[in-house]
Parts: sequence; structure tokens; C-alpha cells
Amino acid sequence: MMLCDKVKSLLSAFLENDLSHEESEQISQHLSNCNDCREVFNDAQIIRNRLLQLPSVTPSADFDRLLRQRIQNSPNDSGLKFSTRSITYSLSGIGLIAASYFIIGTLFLTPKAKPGYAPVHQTPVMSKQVNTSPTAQPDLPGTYVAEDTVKSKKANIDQSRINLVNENK
Amino acid sequence: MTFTEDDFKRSQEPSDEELIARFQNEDMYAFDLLVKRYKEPLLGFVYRFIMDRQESEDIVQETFYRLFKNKHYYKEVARFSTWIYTIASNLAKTELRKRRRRNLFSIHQSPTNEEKDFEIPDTSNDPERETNTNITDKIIQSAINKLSPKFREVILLRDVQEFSYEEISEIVGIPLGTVKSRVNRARLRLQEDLKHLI
Repeated sequence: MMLCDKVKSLLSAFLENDLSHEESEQISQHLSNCNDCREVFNDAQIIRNRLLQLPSVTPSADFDRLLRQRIQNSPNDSGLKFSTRSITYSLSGIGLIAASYFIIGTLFLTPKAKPGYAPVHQTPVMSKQVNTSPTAQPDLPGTYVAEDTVKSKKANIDQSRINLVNENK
Repeated sequence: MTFTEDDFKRSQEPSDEELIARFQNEDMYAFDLLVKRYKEPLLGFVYRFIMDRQESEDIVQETFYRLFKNKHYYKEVARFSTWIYTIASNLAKTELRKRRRRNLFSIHQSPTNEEKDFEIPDTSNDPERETNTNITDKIIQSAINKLSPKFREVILLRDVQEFSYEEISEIVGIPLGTVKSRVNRARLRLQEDLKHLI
């Protein structure tokens, strides 16, 4: 003999003849003896019939017109839309990579300026002029030309000659 | 088993699968026929699932729009009806999730404002009987709304739309046994809630 809980769990299937012959027999037998379960089964039948008879829901009068309008206004080729999007994504990616290189280059590769020194590229004309001289050092990366090299270098002047001129006068 | 005039008519009409095949070959008339065939049942399902008339129309529009744009995604391994209901059902569930997130509406909301738009076909000349039917329908719908979405979805597909358990399993994407158990539990809950009506 089946228990009430077991019967209730199989009522839907029983209602729809979706059980094996043996199970159906067991439930029929249980229903003939159990008032509670029989009541539940009868109620289930009524509810199911009510649900089946629920009225349909009619779409609004302009449903077809709106759908047609939407389809007409949509992009013609979904593939084109996809490829456009792909291009956009690709360009964004390239832009991002370029930006990353620029930032990394700026932060780590560019030499830091020391006080009193200016990088060669800040005075391109001057550095070119220096480099064109036959005695100039080759332009090596990371080499600096002191801005005040000329000023700080002692001039090779004969001091005695200067003194002579001044003192004699 | 009796063979009715409707059955005869239906047997003369092209099947859904024939129509989608024709539409995949750019036959626009086949698309129109599919829309004509499915707009009402889909709207009935979505409306009773989310209980918002305007939103359900939008969802059904979106469903047909997706059918139009993605017709080649349909493969004849599945029935067309389960395919189109899967699209509509997923859109409806997304809408319910959005609502929950926004916390604007309650999924258990009573459909008092929505039912103004409920268009019920005139099947009776007896106004009193019609009024009683309307009231009963509203009470039943109210009981359906009290079910959680996962129970509501399966009970609508089974007892209102009359899909088989296998088809519901495909539409909802859950195992067959789970479908059967959910339908059974949903029916028992409805019975408890509608005891006074019986």
C-alpha cells in the first residue's frame, strides 16, 4: 500500500496517464481507500481543466505594424554589424597597446634630466653642430653634453700677459 | 479519436518546420505565417509569466525580431515551437531578473492594473456568466502569480500552453525529472491556494 505523500507526488503523472501500469493500479487502489488523497486528486483535475480554459491574450492592433517597422529600421546585415564591431574592438586594442608602449617608454626608457644638464635632443641644432666637428665624439645614446661645459672649463690664457698690460698702465 | 474540421485544416497547412525552412530560403510570406501562428500563444505565455502587458508585447516583438535576424541558427534537430518558446522564455526571465535587481516591482505583485488590458474573447451572450468567468480567471491568474518564477514557468508551459514534459525540459533547460516534479508541486500549491474556488 502506497503512502499518501508518495501518492501526492505522483498525482500529476497519474492525472496524465504517465505512469506504469503497476504504479497506476497502486494509486487507483489508494484513492479508493483514502478520502484525503481522493479529494486532492479531484481538485487537481478541476484546477487543470480551469487552467486549460484560461482565455488567450490578444496582441494589440498595431503589433504587426510595429514589428514590420522594427525589422525595416534594423541594420540590413547583421554580419556587417559584427565586423564593424570587430574593427572597433581591434582599433581600440591597437590604441591601448600603443598607449601602453608610450607610457612605458616615457617612464622607463627616457633618461632623467640631471640638474644643470640638458639632454641632447632638447638642443638638436647645437648637438648637430657639435657632432659635425671632426673631433666630436660619436653621438652615443645616453650621453650628455654639459650645458655649462664651456663656462666651467678654465680658459687657456696667459695670466702674466694680462697682468702686464694692466699694471703697466 | 475523432478527426475534426480544424484537424483537417491543420493537416493541409504547412508545418512550422516547413515554414522556417522556407523562411531560411528568404520566403518572407513564411515568416508572416509564423508570426501569425505564434504571436498570440507567445503573448499569452509571456504575459501570464511576467504580468506586464506592454513589456510582454515588447518581449514577443523582440522574439520575432530575433527569429528574423537569426533564422539560420535554427536547426531541425529541435521543434520550431520549443526553439521560439526558448527565446521568449529567456527574454521573459531576463526581464524578471532586471525587475528584481531594480527592485521596482514585486514578482508577486497583484495584477490589478495590468488586467485592464486583458482582452478576453466574447464566447458567451450571458453577461452574468461572462463576469463570473472573468472573476474566476483573475483569481486563477492571481494564484499563478504567487508561484515562484520557476514553478510558474513550468505550469504555464504544461497546463496553459500544453507542451509535453520533454518539450518543457528543452525549453527551460532542466532535466525531465525536475520538470515533472516542479509541475506536480506547482499544481499542489495552486490547489491549496484555490481551494475556496473549488
